[in-house]
Amino acid sequence: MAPGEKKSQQPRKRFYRARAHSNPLSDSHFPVPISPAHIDWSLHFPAFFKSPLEAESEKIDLMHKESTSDLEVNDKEFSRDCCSEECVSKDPSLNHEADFMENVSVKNPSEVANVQRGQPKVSFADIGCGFGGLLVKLSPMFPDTLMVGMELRDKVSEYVKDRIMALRKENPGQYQNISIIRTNAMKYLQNYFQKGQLQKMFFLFPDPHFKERNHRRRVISVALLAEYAHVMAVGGILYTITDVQDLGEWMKACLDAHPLFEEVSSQEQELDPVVTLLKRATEEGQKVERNSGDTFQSVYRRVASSSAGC
Amino acid sequence: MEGDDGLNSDKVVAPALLALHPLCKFVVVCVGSQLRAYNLLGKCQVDVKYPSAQSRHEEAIRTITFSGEGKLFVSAGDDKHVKLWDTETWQCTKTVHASKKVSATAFSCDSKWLLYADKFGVVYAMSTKLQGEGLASSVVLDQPVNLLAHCCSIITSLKCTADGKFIVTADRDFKIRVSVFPKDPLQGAHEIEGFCLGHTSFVSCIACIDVGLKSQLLVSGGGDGTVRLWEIETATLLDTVDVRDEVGIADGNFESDAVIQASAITCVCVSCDGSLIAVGVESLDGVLFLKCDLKSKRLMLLQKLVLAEHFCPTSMQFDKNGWLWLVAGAAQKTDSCKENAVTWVKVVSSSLDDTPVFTPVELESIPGGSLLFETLDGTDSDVNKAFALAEAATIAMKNELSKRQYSNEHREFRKRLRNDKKLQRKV
Repeated sequence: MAPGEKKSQQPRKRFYRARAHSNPLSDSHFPVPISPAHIDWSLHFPAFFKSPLEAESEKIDLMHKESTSDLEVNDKEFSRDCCSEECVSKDPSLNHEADFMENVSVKNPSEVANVQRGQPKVSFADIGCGFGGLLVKLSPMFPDTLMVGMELRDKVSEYVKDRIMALRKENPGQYQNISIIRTNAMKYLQNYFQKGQLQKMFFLFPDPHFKERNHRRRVISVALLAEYAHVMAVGGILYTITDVQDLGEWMKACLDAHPLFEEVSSQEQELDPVVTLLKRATEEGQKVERNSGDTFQSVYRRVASSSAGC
Repeated sequence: MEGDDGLNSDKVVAPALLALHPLCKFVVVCVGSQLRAYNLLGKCQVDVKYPSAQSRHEEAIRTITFSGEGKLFVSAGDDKHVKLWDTETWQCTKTVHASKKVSATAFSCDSKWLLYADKFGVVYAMSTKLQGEGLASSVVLDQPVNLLAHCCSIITSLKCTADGKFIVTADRDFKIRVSVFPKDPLQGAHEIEGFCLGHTSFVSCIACIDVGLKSQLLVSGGGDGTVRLWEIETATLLDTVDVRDEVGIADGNFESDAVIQASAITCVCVSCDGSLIAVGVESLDGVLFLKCDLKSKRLMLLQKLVLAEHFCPTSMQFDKNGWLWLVAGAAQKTDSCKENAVTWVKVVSSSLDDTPVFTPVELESIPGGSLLFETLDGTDSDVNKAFALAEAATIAMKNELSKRQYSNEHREFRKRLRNDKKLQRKV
C-alpha cells in the first residue's frame, strides 16, 4: 500500500493479489483496439481533452464539412448515440477494461482521428507498469505529458486504475496525465501507438524468464525491439533496469545488436532526472533496494536508420 | 493443449495448393505430401526428383512458390523441411531443416534470397546460391538467419514486393506488417515501415498488386470475411469489401449463432494487370471476382462464378494470359498413416473487356488436355470428397488461427472467487 494516503480512498493491495507472472505468449481475451485511430484517449485523460459533448458537436461539424470527402461514414460501424451514451453512463475517466475497448473500437476511425487531430498524444509508455509506482512519480515531473502504463495482469491493472482514480480524487487537478491499459504490449503495442509516437519507453524489472526455452517470453528481444523502434520517435529514450544480472546482460546485448538503438552516455544519463527514478520509483525497485541488491540498467536512444536516405 | 473442439488433432487436414510458373511453363499442384507438376510447354508430366526416397516430404506441404523469373521453386510444410528446386531439371537442390513447422515462403524480388516463416512467427532468410557457387564471403550461407519475428503468432502469408523495397507478413493476430527489405538480410530486417491494421480476425492471405504503380498496393483476406485493399508504403486502408454482404451466405447462420460465423476468406489472387482479384471464400462453391480500380483505388464486386456444384477452391492463381487456375481439395492423414488426398483442378478464362465475363476453359484449349488433369488430379477426384475435405481444411485453418471465444458471463464466472470481486460485491 502506498504510504501516507487515506486508507478509505486508496485501493489496498491485498485485494488485488495476483500471480507474479503471466504468460505473454498465450492468447489474450481482453478487447484490443483495431488500430491506434480507434482509441478514444479522452476517456483516459478527460482533463486534456474536450468534454464529450463538445467533441460531439465538433464531430458533427466535421462531418458536415467533410461530407463530400471520400471518408466513409458507415452507419453500421459507427453509431453516435451509442458512443455518447457510453460516455455519459459510465465513468468517463476510466472505464471497466472489458467493455471499454469494445465500445470504443466500434467507432469509425476517421471520426476519432478528426477529433483527435491537434490534440495531445500519449508520449510515455511504461511497459509492464506493475503497481504503477513509476507513473505516479513521473506524473508531477511531467505534468503536461500524457503517459500510460501497460500491464497484462488483470488484477494488477485494476489496482493501478483504482489507485489513479483515488489520487485524482484526493488531489484535484493532479494525476490527470497518467492512465493504465490492461493489454499485452508484446503483441499489441502497434494497436495503441502510431509510428514514432513515443518519447520514452520504460521496461522496469521485467519478468526474467530464466529458462532458455522461455527466453522468447522476455519483453526485450532483438525481434521485439523492431516493434518498439517503430512506435518510438527518433531521439526517444528506452529505459531498462533489472536486478537479474543474466537478464541485464541479455537486454544490453539485444539493444547493442539492434541498429536502431544507441547507448546513452553515462554523462547524459546523469543529467536525466528520470534515470534516478528507475531504481527507486517502482515497488519492485524498492524491494531490491531494501535487500540492497544489485541493479543493472541500460538506457538507449532510438536513432534514425542509416538506410533512410536510400 | 486443451481439447480440439471435435476435430481430431492427429488427423491433420491440409488444403490443396496450386502454383503457376511465371512464364506459364509449369503448373504445380500439391496435396498433402504429394507434389504433382505438369509441363505446359512440353505437355507432359514432370518427374520431380528427390535426392533419395527418404528425402520426400513426409507431412503435408503448406506452401509452394516459384521465384520471380521461374528458375527456382520452393516447397515446405509440416515436416519442417524447406526444399529448394531447380525448375530446369526438377531436382531438389537444397533441403533445410527448419526448427518449427513452416507456414509461408517467398523469394526476394531478385531471387537471391529465400524467405520462410514458421508457426512461431519467425521469418528466416537463406541464400538461394548453392554451395561452391563462388561465394565471396566465408560466411556459411547455407545457414538460414533470423530475419524478423512476430511475437509468437502464426505467420499466414509472406510476400516480397516486386520493387524489392518491402517484406510483407500477415499473421493470426489480425495484423499485416510491412518491413523494409534490408540491404544485407544476414543482418536481419530491423526497420518496420508500418502495420496494416483493420482486420478484425486473423489475416489468412495477402497478395501484392505489382503493376509498376508509384504506390504499391496490397490485397488481404481475413477470417472476418472481408477483402481489404491497402497502400503498402503508408500502411493505409483504402477499401474494404465485406464478402458476407455480397455473397449472402444465408443458411440462417447469421441469426441462429450468437457468435457471428464469419465466412473466412481462404485465398486471394491478383491478375497480372492488377485489375482483377479472385477470392475464394469458405464454403462458397465458386469464386468471387472483384475489380480493382487502380486509379480510384477501390474494390468492386464483379461476379460470383459457380464452376460446379461443390467446387470450393482452396488455392488459385492467374497466369499471364489472364486465365485463372483453381484447385479444390485437401488431404487428410488417416489412422493407418495413409493419406487420403483429393484434388480437382479447373481453369477459367476471362474476356479482356471492361466488364470481363468468365467462362471455364474448354478441355481442347488447355495444353495437354485431359493428360494435364490426370496428372494434377491424381487418381482420386471424387467431387463430394473434395468438397468435404476442403471444408474440413477450412475449419482446421479457422480452428488453428482464430481465438477461442468466451462470453462475458463465462469470464466473470471464472473470476468469481477473486478477492477484488468479493470486495466489489460487499460494496
